[in-house]
Amino acid sequence: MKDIYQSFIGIEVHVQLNTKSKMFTKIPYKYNSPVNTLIDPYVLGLPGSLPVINYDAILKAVKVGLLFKSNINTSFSWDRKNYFYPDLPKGYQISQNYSKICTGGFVKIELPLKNNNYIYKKINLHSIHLEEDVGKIIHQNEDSLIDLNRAGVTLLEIISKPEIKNAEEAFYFLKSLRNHLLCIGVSNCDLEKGEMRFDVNISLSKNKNQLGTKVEIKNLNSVFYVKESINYEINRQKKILLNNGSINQETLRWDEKNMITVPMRKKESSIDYRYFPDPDLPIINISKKMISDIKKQIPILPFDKKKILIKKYNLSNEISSLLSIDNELYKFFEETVQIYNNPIMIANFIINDIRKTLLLNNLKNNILPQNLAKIIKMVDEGLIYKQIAKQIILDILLKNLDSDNIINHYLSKNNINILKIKNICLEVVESNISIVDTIKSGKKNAINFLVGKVIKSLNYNVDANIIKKILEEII
Amino acid sequence: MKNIFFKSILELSKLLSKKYISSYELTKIYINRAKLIEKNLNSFISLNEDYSLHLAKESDYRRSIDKTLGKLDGIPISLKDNICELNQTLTCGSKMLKDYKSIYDATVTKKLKNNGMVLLGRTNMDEFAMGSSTERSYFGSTSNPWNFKYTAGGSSGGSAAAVAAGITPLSLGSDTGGSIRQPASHCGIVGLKPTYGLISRYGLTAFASSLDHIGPLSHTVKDSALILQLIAGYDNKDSTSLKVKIPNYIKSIEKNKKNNKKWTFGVMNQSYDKIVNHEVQSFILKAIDFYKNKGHKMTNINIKYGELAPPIYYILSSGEASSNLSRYDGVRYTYRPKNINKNLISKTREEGFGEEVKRRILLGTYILGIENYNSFYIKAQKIRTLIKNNFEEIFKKVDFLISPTVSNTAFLKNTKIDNPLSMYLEDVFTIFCNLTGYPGISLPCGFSKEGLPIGFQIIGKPFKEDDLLSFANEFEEAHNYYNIHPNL
Repeated sequence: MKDIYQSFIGIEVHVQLNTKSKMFTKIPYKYNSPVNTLIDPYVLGLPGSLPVINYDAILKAVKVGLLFKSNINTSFSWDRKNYFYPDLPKGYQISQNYSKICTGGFVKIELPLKNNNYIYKKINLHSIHLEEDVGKIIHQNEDSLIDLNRAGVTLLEIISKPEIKNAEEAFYFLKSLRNHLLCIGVSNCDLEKGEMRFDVNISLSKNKNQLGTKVEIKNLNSVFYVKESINYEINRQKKILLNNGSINQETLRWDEKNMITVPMRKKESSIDYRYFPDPDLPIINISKKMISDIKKQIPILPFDKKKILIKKYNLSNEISSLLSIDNELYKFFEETVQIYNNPIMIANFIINDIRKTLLLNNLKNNILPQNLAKIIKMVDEGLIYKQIAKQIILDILLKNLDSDNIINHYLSKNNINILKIKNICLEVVESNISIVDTIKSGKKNAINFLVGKVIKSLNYNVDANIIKKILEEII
Repeated sequence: MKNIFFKSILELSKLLSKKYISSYELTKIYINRAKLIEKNLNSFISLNEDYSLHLAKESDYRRSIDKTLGKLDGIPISLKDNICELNQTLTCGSKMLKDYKSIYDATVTKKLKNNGMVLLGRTNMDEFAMGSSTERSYFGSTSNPWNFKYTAGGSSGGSAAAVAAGITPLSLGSDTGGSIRQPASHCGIVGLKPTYGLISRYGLTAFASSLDHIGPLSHTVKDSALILQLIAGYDNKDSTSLKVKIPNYIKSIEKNKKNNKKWTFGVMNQSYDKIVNHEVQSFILKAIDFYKNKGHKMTNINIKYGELAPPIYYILSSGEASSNLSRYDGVRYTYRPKNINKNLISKTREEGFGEEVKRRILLGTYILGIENYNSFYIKAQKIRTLIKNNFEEIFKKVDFLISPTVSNTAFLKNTKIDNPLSMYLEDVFTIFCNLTGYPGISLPCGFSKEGLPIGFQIIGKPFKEDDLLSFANEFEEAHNYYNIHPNL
């Protein structure tokens, strides 16, 4: 049965930018700092305190705008969003309402199809603007505790148009958005640290030219909850509409325990923020030169990188996806391939061994391209097994020892083994002269018989190709 | 020989450097005089005697080893209680902040300290600078030193009264709609509101950010020049402060005097007869004649949209104030009602704010509301721009504008308090400077039959305080008002 109701979903993404200090004051920000230590008169909202613009935030915001091909407004200002809440020290948040730093733009998303193929779609953006974050309230029994460490942190708000069709598209939208932001290094996008938060708005309609009543789900802090809440809400609204009911325009929150959307209190959802231009801050003008300088800093985008990886290096879709979203590993990959041309094996090692280890242990990559190239070349030439190569890599990453030392250590261990194998091969050759003659006369496959004999004599597994190679040398 | 406590800081500075008196002795004189007079005057909210004397001793020590920090090292100065001073009160005349102590210095305060000035105490004011009589202070009103039955004006009434009464030689106040100039006029002293952006607002409790200014109240024009020299200048902590070259104001005054500089001035034609008291008018006309006779050229000027200035001032200032005062919510550092377990924010504001503050917050909240924003706030901003543009046109033809500072002399206590609108009309001449940002100075030019001071206002070009002070100084030196003091 065809679905008569289409969903129109838009997402507002709040991203904490990794500026050294907060948006309007010089205080730094670090997640999980002791409570109320990242504060100053401005953060506390003390009388007489004034905002001072963090210009790095502006540069980063422009970078994001250029990344998503938005229109950068060369002149913009700041507006106060007024409301009362204990985690909002000044009783207003400095944001942008009447003139935002970027308008328009789009996020390209990659949707997987059933036959292992992909299609690309654009989700258009409404705008991108800067604002300051609010503090945190923790409710403990009868008390409400306030931590202002997060108050004033640089926040970038990216607002999409309601062009997302379902939970799955939402997932890929957020995934792509995150990968693009990581690519230009403006945020670590760590959801567990609250560096990205989402508000979702949904409306259903039979006709795309006439949108239905919009409902907003606020403060989602995981992609999983975004998906779940969208699915729940679409079902809820469909039921109402199919029964000829109507949707109330309301603000909801996601109840994580019961997995349902719940209306927020009336007061919270119908606030007039009384926006007006902040008289403490000047209008900012950005020059065309500044914009073009920032544009030069934008690296190759994830999807384009992925295309290169697939076309030029013949890598698989999965490996390419993973390699395309990490600038450093991508660079590492290319540099290693320049030295030794086995892209597929290099990529596999980088993704399956190096990347995994780095993520699990929160490390930085300390392997040099020339060393990785050396290791892979040795595997190719049969000097060491793949397993040994993996162990070498682990050792270099975790024990931070000199690469050459580790390689030599394993090589020598291997060489002893190789010596042993060589001896056994010699023995086998000497005790099977007739077979050797057969091989020499042209029946190359007979070598496999010798290989088998060698393997029998050995009491551990060795790559048959290595044995073959050694035998061929002898013969 | 004038009593020492009425001397200008220029004179005091000479006495200190010649070692005729120590800073400690001088400070003690003011403190003792305050102890005598304050019960009638109520110009100070707090006086920290030990702290002031300590600063004075440090100054004397520096002088003894010939390492003074400047011309004004050792001179006492008081600050209006809305300008941050580390570890001192910042009541802003309000119950909301009655127990609050600043944890940082305002930029201007730092500059005073860096020059070795002796901080003498915190002066009384209308609550959160909203008012024209200091009757809106939680700590009681300040009396006019010329006649205790009258108000000292406001909102910097404490500062003006303290200077006029000789219990501080100099004070810094704030001016959002005339709050330095109007009380200066009512108390017979000099009050200067400099150009917007010349003096950093960092550490000034915000009332209406685009209209707020810090400025000096003093006995003489040259005293204003001396202190302006100290506190003017760009501050990166205040994004509205401007990078301009600061001239040497005293040198400019002397140079213009020597060169017998002649200027052109305009006279404000704003419905004079209807609103200005006859006595006041006669002294203003005398001042105008003085300048004409001295060879300065006079023209009549009509300020376009002048009659719209008061309403747009109240729209814009209330709108900004309603937002600036939102931070006083009982959560972090303000007054907080006892035994409260719900509605913290609304109960705190209900109990912590006085009537006039509530009135302005309500008005401002209404104005910024989404249904009204365009019809009030945006319209008022547009008119403000028109007035600014008109001022630019006017000041192409003139160097100064002259007007009364206030249309009347000081009024009796409790006569305007129940009539907010009549209180608002105290500002009609002063608000132009706040709406446009142009500098304005008030200086005494006469006395009413009742012996109450009359002041006149001179408005100058932006960042041309050197010319403004020169022009004002010419009048002051030719008259003796700076030597006339209340009989206290």
